[in-house]
Amino acid sequence: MDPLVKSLLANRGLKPPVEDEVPLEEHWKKMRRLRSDVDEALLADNEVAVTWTAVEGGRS
Amino acid sequence: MSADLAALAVHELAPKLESREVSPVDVTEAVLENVARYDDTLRAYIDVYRDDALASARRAEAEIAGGRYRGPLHGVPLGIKDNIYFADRVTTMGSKIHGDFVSRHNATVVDRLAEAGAVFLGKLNMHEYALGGTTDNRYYGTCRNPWALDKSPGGSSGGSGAAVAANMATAALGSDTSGSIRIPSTFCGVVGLKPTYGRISRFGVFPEAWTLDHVGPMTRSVKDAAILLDAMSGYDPRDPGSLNRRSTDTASSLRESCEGLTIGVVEHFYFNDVDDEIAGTVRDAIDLLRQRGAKVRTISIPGLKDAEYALTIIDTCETSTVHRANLRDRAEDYSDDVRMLLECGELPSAVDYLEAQQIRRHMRAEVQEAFDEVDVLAGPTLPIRTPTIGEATAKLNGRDVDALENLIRLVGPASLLGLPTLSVPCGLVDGLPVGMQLVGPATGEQVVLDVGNALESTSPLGDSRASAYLDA
Repeated sequence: MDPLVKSLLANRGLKPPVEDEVPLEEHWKKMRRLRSDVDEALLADNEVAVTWTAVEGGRS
Repeated sequence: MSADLAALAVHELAPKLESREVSPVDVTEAVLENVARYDDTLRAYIDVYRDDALASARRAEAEIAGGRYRGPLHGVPLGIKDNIYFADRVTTMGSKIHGDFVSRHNATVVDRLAEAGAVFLGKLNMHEYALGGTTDNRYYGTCRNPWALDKSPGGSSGGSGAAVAANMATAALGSDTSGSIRIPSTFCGVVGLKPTYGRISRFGVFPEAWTLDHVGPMTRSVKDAAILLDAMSGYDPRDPGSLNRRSTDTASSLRESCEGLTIGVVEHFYFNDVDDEIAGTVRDAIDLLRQRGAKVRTISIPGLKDAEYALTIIDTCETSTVHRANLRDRAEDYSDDVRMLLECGELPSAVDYLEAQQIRRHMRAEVQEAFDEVDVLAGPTLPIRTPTIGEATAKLNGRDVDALENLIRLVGPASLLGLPTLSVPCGLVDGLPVGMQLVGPATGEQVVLDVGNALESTSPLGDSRASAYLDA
């Protein structure tokens, strides 16, 4: 298995079965490829990306 | 007569029930007869509540006879996906791990439908934990497509789609995180509505991914979808994502005309790498809407290209959080494909997840701008032909392509952005249904239902109905 994928899983305390190794590698490669297509300018601003409210039921 | 009763849509049945031309008991018996006859083949149900359903139908009959008619769902038999809780009954999530799980409370949607007088037939088959697009369930059986028994009904709400198509429920509920209502609705030739995020409560529905989960109706007509939406929608303080809005009132004002509406077509996304015959069928349907008065305008939304990345990161991370303990303690009790997805969600970092949320916010702003120019977006729900059961690939212009990836590709953006989306049957390719997807602005359920109703009024399927199951 790709060492990076292996170490990511190990850090999470997981040791997937052998048959999952190739699909996991392929999935991660694809995610990295899709991420490399993202325009970095979209990620460069410091606006709030995730909102949170301290008031229950306060959404409208 | 009994077969005819089981085939009626909610909006056809309701006036007959109200006028007492038809009894809820007769309708429920007719539907249960189909379940008894065909479900060994179709495997749409995980659990059938036969006795309770008949008792409920008798109560509805007495109430209506006593002048206490509650509305268009009173006495109507519905099926419920098995990730929606019924108090004191087993809810399996289509899994082994939750095979004995009993909730002490109803889901809010169950309470609201019960208040509307609905009759509950039982719990419908699904892809394990809603984490897949086939409903090929290792524990509760392989659900089959009533249009062609060797074909997948789609998923994850495959039992809901199959039951409605095969007259084994008058309507059903599904859940949709990355397309799980719209995918089986398309393959089974029924109407599926994923409402705006927060429009229908998810309290008492087992989570897949908190910021993406929706509950919605799967029905035989657009009007039926509107009736169920109106009955289930409205603020629920027990769902932290619930929209602080009143219940919708869409069914009473449905239109069949598209006069004054502009339909947006995003060629570069919704028609990119789509099977030619499916694309042609959807384009013909858009022409029908033009004939109904719609203006059609081609628009561009470049940011949609990042939807697959953001959706996959957010969906898998949230899902893997839900299943974190069980993946470590009981990995062998998950099906192989589900375990794989859960492992995938352990790979991204917190930075990956938050970047995906940033992408989501930018995309929302871009799509909102598009809705300044058009009222709805229209395109194919799915780009591929209906997959054969047991195969991980599907046909796209004769090529074998990854089925799961292509099931999610076109339905993904509306999931990510929480936008109301209707899938409506719009024609047939090789005798199997094709779906058109109508995406509206947030809280714009009325306009997607109006356009869907206009399309449905042209009878795009003609007299074709699912019939493969009849010979089973």
